[in-house]
Amino acid sequence: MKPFEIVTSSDQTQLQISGDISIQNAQECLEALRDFQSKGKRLLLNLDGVTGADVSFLQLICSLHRTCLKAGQNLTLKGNMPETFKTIVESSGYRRLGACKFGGGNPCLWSWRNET
Amino acid sequence: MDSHKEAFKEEAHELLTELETALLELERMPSDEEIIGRVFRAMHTIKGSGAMFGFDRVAAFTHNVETVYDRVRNGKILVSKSLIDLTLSACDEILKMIDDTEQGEAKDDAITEAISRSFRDMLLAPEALPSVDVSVDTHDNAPDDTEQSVIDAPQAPAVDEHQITYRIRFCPESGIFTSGTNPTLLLNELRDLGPCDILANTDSIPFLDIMDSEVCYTAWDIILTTTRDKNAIRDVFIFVEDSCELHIDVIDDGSRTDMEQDYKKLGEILVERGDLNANTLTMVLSAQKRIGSLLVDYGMVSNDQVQSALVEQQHIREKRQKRQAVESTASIRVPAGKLDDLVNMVGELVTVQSRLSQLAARFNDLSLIQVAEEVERLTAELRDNTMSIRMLPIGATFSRFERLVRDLSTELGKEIILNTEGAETELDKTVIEKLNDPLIHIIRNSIDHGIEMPEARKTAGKPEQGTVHLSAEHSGANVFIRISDDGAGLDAEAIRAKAVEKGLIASDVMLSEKEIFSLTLMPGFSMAKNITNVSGRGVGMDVVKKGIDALHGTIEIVSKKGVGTTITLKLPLTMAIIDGLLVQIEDVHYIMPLAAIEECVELTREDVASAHGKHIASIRGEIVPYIRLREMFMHGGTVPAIEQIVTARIDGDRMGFVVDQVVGQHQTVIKSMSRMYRDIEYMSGATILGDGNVALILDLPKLAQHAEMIEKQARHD
Repeated sequence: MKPFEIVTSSDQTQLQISGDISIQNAQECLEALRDFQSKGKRLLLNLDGVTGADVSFLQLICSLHRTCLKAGQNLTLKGNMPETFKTIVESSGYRRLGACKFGGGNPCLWSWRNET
Repeated sequence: MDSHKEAFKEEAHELLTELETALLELERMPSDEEIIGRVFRAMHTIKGSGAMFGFDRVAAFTHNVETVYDRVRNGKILVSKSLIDLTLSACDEILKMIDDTEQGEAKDDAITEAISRSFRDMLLAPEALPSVDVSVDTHDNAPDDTEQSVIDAPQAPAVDEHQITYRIRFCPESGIFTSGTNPTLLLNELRDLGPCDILANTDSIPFLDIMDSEVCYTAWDIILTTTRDKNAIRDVFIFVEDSCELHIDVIDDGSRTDMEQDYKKLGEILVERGDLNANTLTMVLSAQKRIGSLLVDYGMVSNDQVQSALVEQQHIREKRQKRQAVESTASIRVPAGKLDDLVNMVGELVTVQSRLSQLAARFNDLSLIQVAEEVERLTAELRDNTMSIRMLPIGATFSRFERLVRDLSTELGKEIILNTEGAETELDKTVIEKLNDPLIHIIRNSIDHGIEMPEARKTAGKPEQGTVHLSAEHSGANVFIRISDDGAGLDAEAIRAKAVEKGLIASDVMLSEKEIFSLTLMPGFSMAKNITNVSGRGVGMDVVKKGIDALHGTIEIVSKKGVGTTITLKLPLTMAIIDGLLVQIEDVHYIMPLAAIEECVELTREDVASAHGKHIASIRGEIVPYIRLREMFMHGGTVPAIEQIVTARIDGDRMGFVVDQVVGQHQTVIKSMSRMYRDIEYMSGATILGDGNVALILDLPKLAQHAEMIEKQARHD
């Protein structure tokens, strides 16, 4: 499976990311994200296949999100964020309770409630 | 031994008990971080305090165990049965070392060395042990040279557990990724130092078109609470200190609590006074923006900066609240001997107060009577308070049995779990201390003779795992302790046959099931075919009976063959001061424990005559047998025309005790009898009355048993 795969349907474009994404393949990731962002209005990001990541990847996703918000595109994460990925976000200090300064009231991608 | 060493010894015993409980819980819930933390903290404290008070062997030995549990805490070593076994053995060794030091010896035996070696091996072979979270931090599995180098040389113990909270701002330079540094690993190292709140500042991350994938745009604000100093924090960043901006500030030195934040806000006061409607307040507040939002709107700070400040505020608030909670529940340690002295003095005071009340009544002086009543009220309060200080929850004793059940069931190849209930039930410390041996015997018997082997249980349609249930509950002035098992139960016929064979009873005597089961409490009685390490020598239940008798308690055995056995111990709450009923026969006084008494009724000569020589009375339609204490204690003199029957509930049955006169309630300080009188049946002690005379305390269950025996004998003859 390719690490970055774009699937386009009639109403949305999905980017499926798989494997370990780190500084080693960050440039490839950046290019894939730029390509993905240029594909349409409704974008779906699928992180189910991500098995490992570092801060460089989280930065790229943040950049994608704020670029989409600026361009008036709708970027959503597919389904529930995998637990492995949640751990990465949490341990890197990226988890948020509210929006960032680019959010304009839209929730941050890195916000979720703890299950009780 | 100096007082500090003595204090450490006491503390270490308590810590080891707690440690054992935590280890047994951990065996059941191996991934519970809270329990792992408890084990680690207990080891850490034993090591630190041990080194401080000169128990160097204890400190050195505990060091490796602590290090292993530090790794367990960090997910580098998994909890297994063998680790629990090893740690339990380590606990036993630590206990031995502490006791050896007390005796001035310093043994260096092979067991200690073997245990030490096992823990060292665990630390030296981390690659052999699975990591819990490999996806996040694969580098963490690499052997840690720094840690290994200090295995046999314990670090200076962290004696000062004073927690400090730091604000750390970590701004790496833009090229940090390309130098091979992963900032998440540094953050994880900080987490190892103590509880952390970490927030990444992402304000600088640009849009995709100008994004450079290899540049670090993130900075971090970290709020860390730890016992370590600034240097320990700097050490985390030692390899990146030239390529980052690092600020470490103390924001809470651990001395303040949350006291100043506990008063109501203005809105709450207005609502409480009725000056403002709660809904109006909510509406007005929702229209008003918070300071953070206002500052963001003005463009003065970013959302991330506000969130970071809020995280700091919340972190400190929680720490201070926790600290306050700890301070408000603080307790002091008092030597048990001082408490015993206090109880003795209260006992003397009760006796003197009794004299004062008697004198006041004799002189019939109103002001003296008032003072005497006030002294009586205060003495009763003082007595209750003092007794409550000596009360301890029985849970500490229960937790010891978990280890017993675990070890014995493993030894015998049985699968047994111990359930406990009512661990919070309080009993006088003297009673708890003396209860340990009887309970051990009963539980050992349940495990050895009661619970069957797994195959036998399966055949009998029972779960392979047997259960021993240990419970405690209060009932009036007594505590009931029940030990139940779902084992094979007792065979009444077999017990009876064995008792006849041993000559303990005549072959033709009629006995109820309850009486047959009581035979197992007789000296030398054992149903075990083989003598094992665990039981079968026929001394166990005899010891139980003697122990419970010494506590003025009773034992009841209920059992059903194939279903299980329940042994109930009924014990008095305290053995120091009780409420008693003072009665009189001729000019001699006796005390009956008030908790057992139901009522007092008159017994006239006509009542006696109408019973046709039988010792029974009809009390509101119920026939109640009674014992004439005058006859039993061979008092001479004349029987009064109207006597008193004091009725009591004994083992569920009602029984009367006939005396000349009921004097009234009496606070009874129990004095044990001298050795010469200790074996006298029917008396459980003595007390001193206000006029200096002695009153004997009656053992009502023994008196009832005696009456039953005489009755049976008469029927048999």
